[in-house]
Amino acid sequence: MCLSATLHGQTLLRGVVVDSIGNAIGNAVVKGLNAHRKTVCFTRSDRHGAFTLSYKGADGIESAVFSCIGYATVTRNRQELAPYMRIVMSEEAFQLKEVVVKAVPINEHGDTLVYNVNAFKRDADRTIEDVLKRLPGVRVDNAGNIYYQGEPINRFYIEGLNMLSGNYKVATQNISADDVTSVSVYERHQPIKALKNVEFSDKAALNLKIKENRKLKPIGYLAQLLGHEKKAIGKTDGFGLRINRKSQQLLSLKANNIGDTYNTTSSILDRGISDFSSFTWKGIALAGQALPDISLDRYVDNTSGKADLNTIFQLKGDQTLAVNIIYGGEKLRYSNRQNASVFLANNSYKNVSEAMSAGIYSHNVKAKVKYELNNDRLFLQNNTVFDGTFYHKHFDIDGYFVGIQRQKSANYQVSNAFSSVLRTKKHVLQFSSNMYLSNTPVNRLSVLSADTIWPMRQNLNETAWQTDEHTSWSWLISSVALAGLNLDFQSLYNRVELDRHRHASDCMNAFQGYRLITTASPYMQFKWKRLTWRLNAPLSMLNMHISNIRDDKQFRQNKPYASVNTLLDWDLRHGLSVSLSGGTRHRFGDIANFIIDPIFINYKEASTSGTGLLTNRHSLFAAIGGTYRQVSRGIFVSLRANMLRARVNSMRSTTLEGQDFVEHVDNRRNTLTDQSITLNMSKSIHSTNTSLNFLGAIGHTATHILSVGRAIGLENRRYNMLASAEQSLLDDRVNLSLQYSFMRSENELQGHSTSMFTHSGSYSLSVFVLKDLELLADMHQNWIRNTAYHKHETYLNAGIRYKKKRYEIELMARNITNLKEYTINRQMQEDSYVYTYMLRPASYAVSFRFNF
Amino acid sequence: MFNSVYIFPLIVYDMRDTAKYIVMKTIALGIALCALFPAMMMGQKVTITGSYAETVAKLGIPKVVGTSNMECIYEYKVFDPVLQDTEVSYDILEVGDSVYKYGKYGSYQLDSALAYRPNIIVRDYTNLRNKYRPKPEYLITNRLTDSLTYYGKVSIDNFSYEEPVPSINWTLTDSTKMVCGYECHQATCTFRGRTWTAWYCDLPLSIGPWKLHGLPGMILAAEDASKEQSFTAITIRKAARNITVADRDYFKTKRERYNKSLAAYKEDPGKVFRVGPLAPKTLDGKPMKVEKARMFYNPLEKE
Repeated sequence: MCLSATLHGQTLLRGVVVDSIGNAIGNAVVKGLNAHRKTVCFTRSDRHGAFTLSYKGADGIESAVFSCIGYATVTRNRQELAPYMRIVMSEEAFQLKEVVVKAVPINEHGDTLVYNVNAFKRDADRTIEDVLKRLPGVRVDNAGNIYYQGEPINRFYIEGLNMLSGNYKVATQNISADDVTSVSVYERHQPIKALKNVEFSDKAALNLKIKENRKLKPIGYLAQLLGHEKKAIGKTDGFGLRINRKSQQLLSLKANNIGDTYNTTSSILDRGISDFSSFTWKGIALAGQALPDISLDRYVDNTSGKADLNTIFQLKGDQTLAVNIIYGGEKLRYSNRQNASVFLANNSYKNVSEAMSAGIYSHNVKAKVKYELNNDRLFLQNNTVFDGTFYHKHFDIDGYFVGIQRQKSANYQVSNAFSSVLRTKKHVLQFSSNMYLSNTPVNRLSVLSADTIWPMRQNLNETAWQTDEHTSWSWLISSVALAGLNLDFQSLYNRVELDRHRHASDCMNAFQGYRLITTASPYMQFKWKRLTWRLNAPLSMLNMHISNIRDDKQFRQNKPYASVNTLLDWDLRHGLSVSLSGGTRHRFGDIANFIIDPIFINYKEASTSGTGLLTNRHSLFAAIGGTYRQVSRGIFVSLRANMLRARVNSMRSTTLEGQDFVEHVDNRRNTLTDQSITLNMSKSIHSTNTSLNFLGAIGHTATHILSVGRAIGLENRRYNMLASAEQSLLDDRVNLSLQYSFMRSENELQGHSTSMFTHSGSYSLSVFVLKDLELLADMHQNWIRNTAYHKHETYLNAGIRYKKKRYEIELMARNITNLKEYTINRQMQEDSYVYTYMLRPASYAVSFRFNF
Repeated sequence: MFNSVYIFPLIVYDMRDTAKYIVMKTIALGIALCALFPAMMMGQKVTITGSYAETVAKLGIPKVVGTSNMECIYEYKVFDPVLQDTEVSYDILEVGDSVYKYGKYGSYQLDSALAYRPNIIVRDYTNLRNKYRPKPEYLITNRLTDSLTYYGKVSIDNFSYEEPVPSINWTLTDSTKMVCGYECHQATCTFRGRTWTAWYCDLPLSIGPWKLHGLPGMILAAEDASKEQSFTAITIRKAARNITVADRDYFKTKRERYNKSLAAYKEDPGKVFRVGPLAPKTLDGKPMKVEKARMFYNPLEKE
């Protein structure tokens, strides 16, 4: 029999659905299926069991299926269909497949990923940083810096507000993971709303969302540690955060002598303080040492204190006012031994061994007031910063030299940055004005020794003033095209005074002058669906005037420079994007090029920074990168390759003058090529509570240095790998973490090769023997090897922690193996170094913590 | 966010037995409006102390409208384009033979906790409310009458409206995906101003989250085209418990009118308190300033 009824191509089935005793079944689902068993039409029986199923397709329906919870499904094939059907359904026990899905670990909303903290949190976690380390796609390095898909984040928000202005470690290293409900990642985040779709950003931002019941009241902790380590040790911590709807406050007070440092590694390396061209502050790196990749608390004997006060208010409209005041004071001591192999211009290596005991006293005060209005139409920001830093360094040195080396430095910086953006329907106007003043009134190097050739007193003081003015106009030609012009004007004034008294090398000189760079940069940008292409063609005019006071020499230069660069970003498909960038750029020298007197950076090493001629580093660069993420599978991958070829008109060489190692710079054409590839991969296997991370990087650099008056090639090849895995077992009672890193560096100089290897492994284990009782241990191993040296070290910590509601008590033993030394290998350009740091001895401590 | 508001009826109920009911109600409202209004706006949790906190909470007895035999918990995610913020909450669909209830999971949890504590004191009750943060918004679908009743709240007033179960014109497509362990098929529709993509499974129940229904299987996931609203089933389980509605006095209204009032309230929650006899005043009788502060809001229904 053909279909029950076919009227003008329409299939019509009517009928009633009843149970075995004839009672009507309401809400039964009636489906019409085609020949491919696909549902083409459907209906539902009414309370009387009646149904009408109609279908307008030409091919008709092949079968009808009747189903209802509690009844066996009935199927009628084409041959069994009739104009009016009475369907009898027999009762059948309903077997429901019960499913409980744990919290969805990552939600995706366009360019926003929301990580559910509960899905990644473990009982052993102490701060939100521990959870961040586990999020696929996110990496946190040993210093606490956060990266997403291999790139550092550009903003860190708490509940959408940027209170900390980059100083986010105070939040991530203190806020409890229990207080955070989710972590959002905003990919390609443009923090200025009026520049959305105008200025492309390839950086991501992070936002912490605090649990509702932890808002509107202070949350945080108070902690006290007491212990013994040849002497009494202690640590006092207080941290509080309050999230209101329209304001946030964060207060942190800390003090300790257990090795936790607050002014960070910059207090040792003396670098990275200044954001602009203050020659003096950047130029003297007294210690000039490589630091081990282990935390400072293993080798630094310290007395440290820090106070952090941060607040932000959301004012009317889209305005915010943020105030940050930070003070850090530290007294650090550490000792090491150094074996250096320094390549000299006479084509030989000179080996130097010395032992050093360092004392560093530092104070840093930073105060910042930031006003911001940020909406889709208008952006206004004014940022006023005061940064005062004082260092006093003291080195007792034995070996190549017996004596004392001291440095005393003070630097004060004041800056104001104003920025504005106005967006209308067709145009975007930008104006920003930044002013910086840096003063280094004290920067003194003193060397004391019984031997008459070494004593020295060198003062290098500087005043620097810089302004940056930026004006930009953009024309939104259409939804696809954008054109604009950036105008930048930078002025820089420096005055550097050098005054040195030393056996046979007294020197007194002063250098001062200005540098003006005016740049006009027209650009075009096209954004077509998933493709963004931007082309910039900056044209710069350099005006420079530097004078050497002692020699009464004047240097003037007025010259134009042109560059071009481009960027292409393409979303190939959901979760997969590639970007290409390339072009040329000029990096002009500054007053450092005209400081032709050698400046001692420590008792034996002097560096001449300039030749008396301006350097212009002209680079050709290209970069290709790709990111891929599959959120549902927890897979994040990023791959980046960079190529650089730079031409400079300077070449270095080091000579041994008496006992001094003096670096000279000659005005000779040199090239530098650099290639590198970095791969980041992470995978989260939610079903087994497993996190896997991999970071691999290879690089090659080639340049030239001077040897016996001629240029010789210097090549460096480097290979780095970092792999880590975290596994949670037995319902989160056992947590295991493994990390392995490998570093190999090879130098080749005139056919002579040197290579260095470092392998290191870290393992940590946490076991909850009872619900609130945790046993924990972590072990670090290090193997190093170079041509003539190899060493193996093992370092072990262990502890027991009991947590009950808001209270925690922890017993800890650190450096149980009582390892005394830790050794690292480093290659710095053509020179090789082996540093051995003296570690803190075994220590035992008990700590109490109250969470509120 | 509404905790402070919800506690007011509790205070009022407790006063009913006293001779000073009228006076106390006025005082309670006065305190509520003047002192707790800022807290209400800020979502602060409520703490009640003193002897009143130790008294037995007098709660209304919920009205049973059916019995569930199955439950489905959905993760409901909504993005507010004005505040540029996303909120994630959990809803539960209680499935009976002919009555379905769709409401907030927090309210369901609170009801479950209260079921075993008939003589709960005010302090414990307040703590439970702070813990589960219930929201008295739910809808009851009655398949016998083909009607849908929505219960909600605007400011401190309870409202309900009734409408026929809306007809939704679905288009079935070929795509399939797994949701909550079930193989689901895709269907699309336009319903009250939003274009939805839904995923339904083979469970023969023509129901789904919120007012979405009418497919040949239970809807386990749905997302609107703007990606501002989404429902995803995270738990499906058997059940055997009463489906109830709260015993409250509801103002009857129309759907359109309710949606309009709710939108106006969310846009400026302090507006209703700025004028009229309930306007908060300082001790010397001067009117207190109530700031305009838009609340998180993005309606499911645009029409």
